[in-house]
Amino acid sequence: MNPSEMTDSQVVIEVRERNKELFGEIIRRYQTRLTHYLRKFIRQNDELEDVLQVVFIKAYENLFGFDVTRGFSAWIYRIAHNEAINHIRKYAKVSVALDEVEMILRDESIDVPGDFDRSLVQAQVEASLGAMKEKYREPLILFLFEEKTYEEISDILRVPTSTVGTLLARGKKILKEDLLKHGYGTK
Amino acid sequence: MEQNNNTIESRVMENIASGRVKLRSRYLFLAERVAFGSAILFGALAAALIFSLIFFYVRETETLRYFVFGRAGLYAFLESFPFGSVIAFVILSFVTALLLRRADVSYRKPFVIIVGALLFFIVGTGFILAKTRAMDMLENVSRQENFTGHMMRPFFGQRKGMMRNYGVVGRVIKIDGDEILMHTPEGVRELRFTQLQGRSEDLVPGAFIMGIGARDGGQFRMKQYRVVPEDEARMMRRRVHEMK
Repeated sequence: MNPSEMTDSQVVIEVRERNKELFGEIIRRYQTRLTHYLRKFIRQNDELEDVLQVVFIKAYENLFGFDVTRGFSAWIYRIAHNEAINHIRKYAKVSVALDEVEMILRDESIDVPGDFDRSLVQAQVEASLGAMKEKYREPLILFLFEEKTYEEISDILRVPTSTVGTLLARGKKILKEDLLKHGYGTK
Repeated sequence: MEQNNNTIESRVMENIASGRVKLRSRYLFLAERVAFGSAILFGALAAALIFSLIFFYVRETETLRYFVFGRAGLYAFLESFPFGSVIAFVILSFVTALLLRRADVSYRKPFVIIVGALLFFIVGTGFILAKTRAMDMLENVSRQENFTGHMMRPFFGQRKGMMRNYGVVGRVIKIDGDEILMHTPEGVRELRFTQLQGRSEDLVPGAFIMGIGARDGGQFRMKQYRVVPEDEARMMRRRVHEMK
């Protein structure tokens, strides 16, 4: 079977049992998405590359720890999440960096009308997320910018699905209030 | 960034190809899961066993009966209640709940539900154990002069040679005026009645009684007492019987 036609779990089984080289397929599938995710926490390119490399190496080393009946995406995001947290704690800095395209927020309730300067809004959203408590920031980033479902966020952050809903609702409220306080958005 | 991504892929794959980065053995993960699962099961069963021991102890001793003396029986109750076992039960349950929380599947459920299910299992298993002969067998083990016996004794409230300060239970050997000689679980003990409001006719040698008062040196000044019915404090009866 062509590797590009295989599911993540099939690739993992192949890597574990027969073909280590096929791990390259996993890297190709996830490097852009994980770069995108880690970019939220790590601004420096060289630091981001180092962390991303560690994520893939840890994923490879622990492939037998992955349950093939469950989602691989959430599993590798979990590793990336842990590494991002380790990086933040190691360097004791919390900052959030968004791409310009990400400024179309997934949730309409906290979107900002187009008559504002997008770069200013982006800077404010980054600042608001950076100032937010970690427990609200993490699910919000995964939901708004990574487009993860509640179940996937539950798997990545290891919190109950119902708690994800609560944290997201609270996080969105905090973000909206903070944007309003700084003159962005409408009530 | 495309070039960087290719660099990352080539660097990771180079590490894998050279053998510097290896797959951790599947047996290592299996061993981890087995050890983790065993720890949870052991913790839950140990907590159930301790719960059963507490239940058995309370049922088979006089500890709760001290409240028939009202507030005056509080000190005797506190002195005889197995707080050590309760603390061990709480710690074991807490640690097991934390382990369960870290388990691969349980994080999806709220912690309250996990703790509730765990307590339901512990209490249910504890009650079932209490209904079997297991506790009687353990009580027999606690009387043996070996390591296991010594380890089990605290769970059965056995403090060899240590006289209690506020409560007493045992069989009357002899009554001589204001003084009683009794066989207690701790040994033969001399009691003296003080401030006692009357004495009932059933206080005779051979009667099994429990009382409250205060220790005074080697003696015990008893203020109130009651004759214990046959179906109460059976563990204390067995111990007193052994002391003879």
